Amino acid sequence: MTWCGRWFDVVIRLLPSAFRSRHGGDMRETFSGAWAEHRARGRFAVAAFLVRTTLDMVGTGVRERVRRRRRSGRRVGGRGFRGRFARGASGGGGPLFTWLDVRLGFRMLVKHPGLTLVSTFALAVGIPVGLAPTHIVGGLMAPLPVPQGQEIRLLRQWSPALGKAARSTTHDFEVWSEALTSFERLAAFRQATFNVDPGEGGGTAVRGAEVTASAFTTLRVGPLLGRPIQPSDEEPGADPVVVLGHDLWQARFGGDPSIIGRVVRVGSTPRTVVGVMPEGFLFPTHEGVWVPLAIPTLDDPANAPSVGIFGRLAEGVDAAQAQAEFASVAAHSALPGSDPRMQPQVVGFAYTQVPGLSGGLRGSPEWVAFEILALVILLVACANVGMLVFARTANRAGELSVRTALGATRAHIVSQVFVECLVLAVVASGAGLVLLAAVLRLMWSVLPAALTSAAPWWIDWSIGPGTVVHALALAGVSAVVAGVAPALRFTGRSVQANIQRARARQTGLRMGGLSGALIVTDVAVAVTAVGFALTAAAQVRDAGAANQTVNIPAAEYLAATVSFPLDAGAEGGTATDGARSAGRWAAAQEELVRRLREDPRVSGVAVADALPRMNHDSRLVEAEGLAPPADRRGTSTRLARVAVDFFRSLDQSVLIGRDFGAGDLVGARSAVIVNTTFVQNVLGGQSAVGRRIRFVPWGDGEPGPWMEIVGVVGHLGTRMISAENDQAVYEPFAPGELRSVRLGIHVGEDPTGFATTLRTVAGQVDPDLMVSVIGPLDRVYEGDWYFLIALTTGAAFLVGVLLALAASGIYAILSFAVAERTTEIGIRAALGAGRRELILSVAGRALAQLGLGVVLGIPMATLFTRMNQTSPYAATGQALAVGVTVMVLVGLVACTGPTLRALRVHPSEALKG
Amino acid sequence: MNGSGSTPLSARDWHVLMALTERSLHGYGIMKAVQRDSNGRVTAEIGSLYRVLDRLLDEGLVEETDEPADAPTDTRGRPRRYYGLTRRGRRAFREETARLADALALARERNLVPERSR
Repeated sequence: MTWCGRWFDVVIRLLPSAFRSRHGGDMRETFSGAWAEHRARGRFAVAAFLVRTTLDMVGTGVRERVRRRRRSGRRVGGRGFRGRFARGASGGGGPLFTWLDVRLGFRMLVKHPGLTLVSTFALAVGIPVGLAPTHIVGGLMAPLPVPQGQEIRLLRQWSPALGKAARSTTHDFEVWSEALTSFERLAAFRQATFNVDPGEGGGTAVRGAEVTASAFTTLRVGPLLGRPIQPSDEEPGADPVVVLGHDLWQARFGGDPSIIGRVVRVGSTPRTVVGVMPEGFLFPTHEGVWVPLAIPTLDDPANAPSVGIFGRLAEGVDAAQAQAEFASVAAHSALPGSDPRMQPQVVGFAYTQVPGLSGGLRGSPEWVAFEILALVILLVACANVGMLVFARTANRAGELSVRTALGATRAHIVSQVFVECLVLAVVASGAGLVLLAAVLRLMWSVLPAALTSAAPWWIDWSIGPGTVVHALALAGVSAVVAGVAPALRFTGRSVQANIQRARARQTGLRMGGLSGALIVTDVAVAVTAVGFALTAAAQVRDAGAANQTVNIPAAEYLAATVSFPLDAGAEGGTATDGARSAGRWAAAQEELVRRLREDPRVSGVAVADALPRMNHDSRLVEAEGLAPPADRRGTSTRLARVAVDFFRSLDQSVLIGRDFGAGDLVGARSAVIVNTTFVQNVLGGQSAVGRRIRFVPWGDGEPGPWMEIVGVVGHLGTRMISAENDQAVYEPFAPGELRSVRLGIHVGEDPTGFATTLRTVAGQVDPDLMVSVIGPLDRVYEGDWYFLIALTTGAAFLVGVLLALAASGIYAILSFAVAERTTEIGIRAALGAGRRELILSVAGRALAQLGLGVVLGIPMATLFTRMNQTSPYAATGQALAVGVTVMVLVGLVACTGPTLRALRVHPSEALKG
Repeated sequence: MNGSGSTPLSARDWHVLMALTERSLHGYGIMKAVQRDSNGRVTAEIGSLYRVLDRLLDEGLVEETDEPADAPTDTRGRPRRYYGLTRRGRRAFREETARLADALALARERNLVPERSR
């Protein structure tokens, strides 16, 4: 209630002071009750309530002032045409807003096309910016696309100590299923990658899930063919079954309609296909195959396997009630010794993707900052449009003054300008929604398929009714900011003064220092932003260029991930079975690499957890004898775990010292190799070989053991960009030690063609090996690449917004100047002033502001560059020059229209007044 | 009626008086009652509601009353104002309701009332 209480204290000021002093305290109390009720209904209800209350306060404030003025005997306006004209569109005793006002608003749009275009553009980019955070969160956190998907809720326990959701187990599932009545039923799932072999040899790694039979019932999605998993499939000793996803059924089984009953190998288990799910069903995240989840009977519940737990709210139960019951049940069923501060949460299913955020995306501080920034940009857009409206209102000084003289109240004039702005804002919000949809589609399309094809299946960018309502609300707020404020300022003068000014073709108003400062700021920020966007775009281009950041012919390598289900052949088995399974994985990995190397097309197979160009793990490293950076315990460094023959396989020689050997895998394993950037950045160019380093944790905790640098290699690229910052440490590992490894297979031209061979060989080596082909190594885009794309797209959008705002501001101030000085221009022209002199006299102020903005923008960009000297995003001089040029051009274009209008002023016309 | 007994009450005025016929209510209670009784057809946002109350107070149809004995205990002592009908307000409400009933009867007689409203 604190911030909304303050907000209410602000909006209540719209009411006359006498009314406030009589009812203010009680109104606040009433607001408090209504606020609590809406808050319980969710964020959207609160937003709608606040918008409704604000608009109501605006209307009530205006009406109440009119009523009080009438009551005090100062009746305004009359009946008939005169009164109607005087009041704009509204009848004196009737409402302030009528359809006639709306029609008049449309007429004003047509009458001033330049202003309409500029204002619409400014708001059409400002409103989507204001909408974007909410819409993006709504899209990412959308309900599951199943019948009544909003009723599907995830049950999780937030651990404040861990700063993330604690694991839920099959034990929790059993206990909660028994106790909770707020849900129709609960279901559990566990994601895994399965090797699916249709029986032709060579399996395909498919993302799938083990699910309880209740999952399908809960989701209310029926199969396309056959049946879903049933409770009988979960019984011990039941025949193993599998349900296939639509894509897998089409791709690997040719859409065979008689697939039901066929036996396929899933991992090491032959399973009978009992069903095929419809297209688009990818539960839980982006999975394509489902097998029954076995719930083991365990002596110690603490060792129960991890699962995700979800359910559908029972009829008539809302999320808050379910939350209350779950909190009670979870507290009573907590295992002895578990953290008492654990917070049970009933949240949307999309929270599976944000285990580290207690309040979901909306609750993260970064997101709140993003929302505030977006609203600030919208407000700046509104302020710019406000200046335009002010300039236009000033141009209509005569008309409005006559209306005032005929009896229109200030409220009527303000409401008329407000409605005109509202019409404009609603048109702009429509355009803005189209723009938002287009930008989101564009952003989604430029993301690599590797990302979008694994994206959660519920992501929904469509513009729904909620977004439209939100856009209209923002349009309303924009109209208040851009229309009411200028109109109040304009009407805050005496009628007589306005009529006199109108006769003299003058408004006598000043735009004020604030508007000038706004334009200067617009221009300065736009100059900086153009430079920033161009630099980011150049980085994307550089990063995208193949082989730019690595010293190997990446286009000749096929990248693939190979993994092994460590419980393969050991379902429900013992630790011995697990060890046997690990042994099989080590042998299979060695054998696969050996066989691949025997292939005549292959000239090398590099094995690591991350290949060059891929995003490597990040660690803090402390070098013995060297002081760490002031603010942390070590230097941030990239880490790759590599096979001992990794560098030889990539044809990389060790520049100083020695390569890894089999002996480095024996005993304490202290050997590491670093790259030349590490020597430069971490060791300050000092001798590296023989020096000891160790990993230190990011927070508190003990450092790792000391390791000795045995060799130095060249730059291989540990992430997409910023070669100068990719200091790296390479650590050897033995086959079988990592759950999955990446293979870089050097096959020369057309590496993609080798994928089939790879799958076949893997199937022959061990049917449980799971191969996931990534593609040619030069097309691997991980980590910072996504960030760069988002940054560039966002920066380009921002630049468009800022340029539009700067242009609209300049246009507004010039339009105003021309209107203000028509008589003066006419006199000057009559006295024989030349065109150049007239142009300078008209555009001088705007050009001065443009110049000042550019002059301020250059140091801002330079400062930005200095602050980010080590960052690849720093603006370069060239980009800055382009930024300045673009801004000057935009400014000049904005000056052109009003200046030409001034030049067309005929002396005789100007002097008539 | 605006107090003089000559002008029909607006829908919002009538619903506010209707809400106060049985007992005194505070602002939020009136808001909810209007919303409920009109099935959401008549909205009474805070500003509009208090504007109506201000006018009805001026016209003597509504008056401030003491906190009822059966007010919820969790709001006791909070600075809430309660409103009730004056005798004049009750009469105005009765007259307006009678006027509406007559109008409805006439419309029924001429078969002008939609089926669902009967």
